[in-house]
Amino acid sequence: MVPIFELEDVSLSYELAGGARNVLRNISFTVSDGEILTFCGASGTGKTSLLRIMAGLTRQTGGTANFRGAPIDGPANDVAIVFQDYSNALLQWRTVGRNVALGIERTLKGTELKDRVMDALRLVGLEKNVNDYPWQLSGGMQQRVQIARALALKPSVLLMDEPFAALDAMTKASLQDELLNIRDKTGANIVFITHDIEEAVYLGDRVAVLRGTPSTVEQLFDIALPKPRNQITTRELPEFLALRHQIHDAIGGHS
Amino acid sequence: MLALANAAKGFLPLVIAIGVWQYAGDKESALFPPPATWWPAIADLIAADTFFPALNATLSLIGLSLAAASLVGFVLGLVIGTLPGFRHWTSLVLEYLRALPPPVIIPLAVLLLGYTMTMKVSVIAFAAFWPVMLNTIAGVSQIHNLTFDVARSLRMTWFETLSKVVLPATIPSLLLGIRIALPQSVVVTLVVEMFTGESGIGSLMIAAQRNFNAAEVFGLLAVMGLFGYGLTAAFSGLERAILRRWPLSASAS
Repeated sequence: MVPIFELEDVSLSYELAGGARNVLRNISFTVSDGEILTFCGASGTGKTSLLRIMAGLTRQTGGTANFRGAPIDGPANDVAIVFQDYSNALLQWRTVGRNVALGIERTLKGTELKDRVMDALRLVGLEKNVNDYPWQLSGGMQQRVQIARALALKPSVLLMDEPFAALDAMTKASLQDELLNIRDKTGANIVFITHDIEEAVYLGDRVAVLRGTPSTVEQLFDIALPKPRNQITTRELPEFLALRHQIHDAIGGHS
Repeated sequence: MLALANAAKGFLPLVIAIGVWQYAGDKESALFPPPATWWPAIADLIAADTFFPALNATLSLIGLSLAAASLVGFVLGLVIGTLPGFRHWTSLVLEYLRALPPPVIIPLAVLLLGYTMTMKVSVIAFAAFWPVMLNTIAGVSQIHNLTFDVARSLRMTWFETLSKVVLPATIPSLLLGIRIALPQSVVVTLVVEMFTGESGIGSLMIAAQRNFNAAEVFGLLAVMGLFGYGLTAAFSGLERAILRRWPLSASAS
């Protein structure tokens, strides 16, 4: 079976005035159907750059990056991206409903469009806020709007760039569980970037650790924790704690 | 209602000053005629059928020029704002042209275009389009790169990105620019009318001054003051109504 993503020996460097800046080197991994792959690494390890390559927003400077067997040469049809900075990712002058419609209003019209928007908003529990403006909502709700906009595309892959990093701990925990629920309902593949080790383990079927400058995949961990995951009991499992410890060491953190 | 009461409070000093002038001033003064004589002077102009055509001419000229300035300023602002190279090699020329006081181009405009409507609109629009254009450029440059990434990831075309992202994102800046341009176009309209002496409140003012009709000059001044204030207040109201959809920070003045 053709993997969803297949990256081989990918590298990325920028030409700057003071010489080249190398961000990524020898990155190789695959994303197979049905899994949540989380990337974890300290800040400055090129996590966002890697996601941008997968999203078709940045072109790698070396190696090959394939999506469903074909080289990535731009944003793909059924790949949706959720960015960390929700306030700039949402169009603040459009209502919640019209933000969610942004990616699909070209192809869908009338009740079909309205139904798809409402379905997406129901998945994130915001169906009552369809006529609000994003700036009237809390940060967690705005991030839900962005997730709904991605889901409205009915994507086969969700690429998420530290989507919960700017949210408080309680909102973060409830959105993590919502995300796992959404994955079960929609079957979307998820590539999730975070600098939060516990989040990476909690959400992931596999965790890839990025390390170094330029960075590369230091280690891949299989997360064989029982499902459905639970914010309290999962996080208390000895396996969870052991993985947390190993990933912490792989990232190169000091405690 | 409260806003109206506050506005009325703001007018109080002016009302008191005019009252003092009326009751304490020299009733026979040729240069400072008491305010009660202003209205009869205007009434004479109305009776002679010259006031309303002149007011109409002035307001139409302001409206037409402001519309032209807004359109040209917005389109140029979008072009210069979205093409960084363009901005780079136009900036010096723009700084130079902007430093010209608008009335000094009247002789050149008359030379090239004659005493025509085109000449008047060109001169006034030249004065008024700067704030519109510069605010639009600033508005475009304030759009976050991430917002363009969103447009790209949703596979929007160039035209969709322009119409769904760039245009609406710059509307608050456009409105701010027009609000600044409005009083400037009132000023330059009156200067142009005084210079050409053909039509409008400005030409009536010059005529009254040449006839030493001080009451009429003051009366016309009061009328233009009222209209200048009214236009700005009306535009601010329109701006607030439009910006209800935008976050509060977008309408900061």
